[in-house]
Amino acid sequence: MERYAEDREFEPPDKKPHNEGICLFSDSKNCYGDDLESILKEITSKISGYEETIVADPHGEGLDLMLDDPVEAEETILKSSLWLIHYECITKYDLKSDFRKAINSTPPRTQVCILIDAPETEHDDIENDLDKITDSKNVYTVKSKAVLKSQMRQYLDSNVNPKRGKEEVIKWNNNVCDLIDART
Amino acid sequence: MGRNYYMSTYIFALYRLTMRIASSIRSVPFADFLTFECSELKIFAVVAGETFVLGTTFFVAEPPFLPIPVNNNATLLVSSLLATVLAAVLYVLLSGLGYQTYSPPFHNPVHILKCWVAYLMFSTIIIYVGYLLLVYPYTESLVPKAVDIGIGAVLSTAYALSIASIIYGEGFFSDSTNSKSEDLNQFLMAAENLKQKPESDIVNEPDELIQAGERLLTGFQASDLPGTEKLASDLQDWLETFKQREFQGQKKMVGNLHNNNTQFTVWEDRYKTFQDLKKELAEMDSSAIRKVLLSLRGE
Repeated sequence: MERYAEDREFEPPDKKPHNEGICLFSDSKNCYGDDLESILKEITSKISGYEETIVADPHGEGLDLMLDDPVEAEETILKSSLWLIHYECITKYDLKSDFRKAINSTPPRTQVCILIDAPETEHDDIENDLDKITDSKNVYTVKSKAVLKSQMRQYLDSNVNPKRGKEEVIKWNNNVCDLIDART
Repeated sequence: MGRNYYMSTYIFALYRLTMRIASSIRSVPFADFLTFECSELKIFAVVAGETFVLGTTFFVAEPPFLPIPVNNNATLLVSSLLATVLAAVLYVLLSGLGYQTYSPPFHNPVHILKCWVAYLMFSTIIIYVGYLLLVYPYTESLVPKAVDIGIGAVLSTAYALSIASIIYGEGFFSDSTNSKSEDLNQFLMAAENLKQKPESDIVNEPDELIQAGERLLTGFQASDLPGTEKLASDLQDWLETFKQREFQGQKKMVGNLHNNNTQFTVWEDRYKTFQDLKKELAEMDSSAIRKVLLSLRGE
């Protein structure tokens, strides 16, 4: 990951948009029955300056990395500012404390969405089981595809889009670089 | 009149014929079999080479100008051997010419064989016209004698060789050949290092890959030969995508994919495009003759 210069321009003629990594923690590529890539395709057309100031890519190895070595995994997953975590990754794999640590070390503006696709009657139990992970202010629980799409679109269009404020994107990127440098 | 008159008449006629042929072959896609993107200057060189070879014909053809009386069988044997050697050298030279281009087919032994056949056909036609102008008035036979065929074969291959040499010479002394080879190596090496190295060890590899890729792209875009347009388009698209990615994505694009069921097809597609490009570029990293020799050695 490269540091951004303070005066960096993301638009043409630089032709170097901000590359937004979306890290998926899941056993499958599906979110509420749809492939994450197709969800992404649906929303990118509604993102201002997509391909010019921002591009987004899904990375699906989040769970594997966490299962392999949660500390090492942070070096990779921190580079994505949008984390989509299927709730079972937290509740079923004994990774609760590892996820808590990882989420606590994220810089401001990194957004974590915990995807709950179980029947509605189980939602309360699942949220209880997620324990204090959802206490962090950048963690949201998502319970439907429509909400997920809306959250992702809003996040990519506003929070991390240099078109809406490049200073914040530069700050987030350089914060992550500092965090990774500190670890290495 | 006499010898000088005949010589000037046929040189002029052949010059016009050559220009007409050169003009027509450049207007059809098959022209590249002969020209290898030959410039006007090279076309002129072809005519000059032709004049030279036909001038030589004037002095050695039979009758009336074969200067040394030799046995027909011996002439046939010597001319067959000489023509074979010259034809082999022609293939090597055309292979070298193909290697200088940015077109994948021109690095293929079969395609170079087609160029070789085209060259020999072209030169044979020219030499036969020379025969009609020079020898036919004396023999009044449209079918050359065995000894004339032997000598004609030598002249045809020598003539084709002279054309190829002129084009090869110009390309050899330009910088393009070396830089293409270096760019190919840099592109492929940078991609391999990027794939293998951990992120913390990656320094200049993405930039090296982009720079070499852009130089190759310029070469493809400047070429009109078959295959270069699609290759240029694919490489440009892939490079544009590559430039916009972070190390994590760039590594995936050159093959560092995680083999799990959450591997997204977008990375697989980008890697597949890279594999196709790499295959084409690797094909261009060796000449047709080298491939022939390697296959003969069973490698």
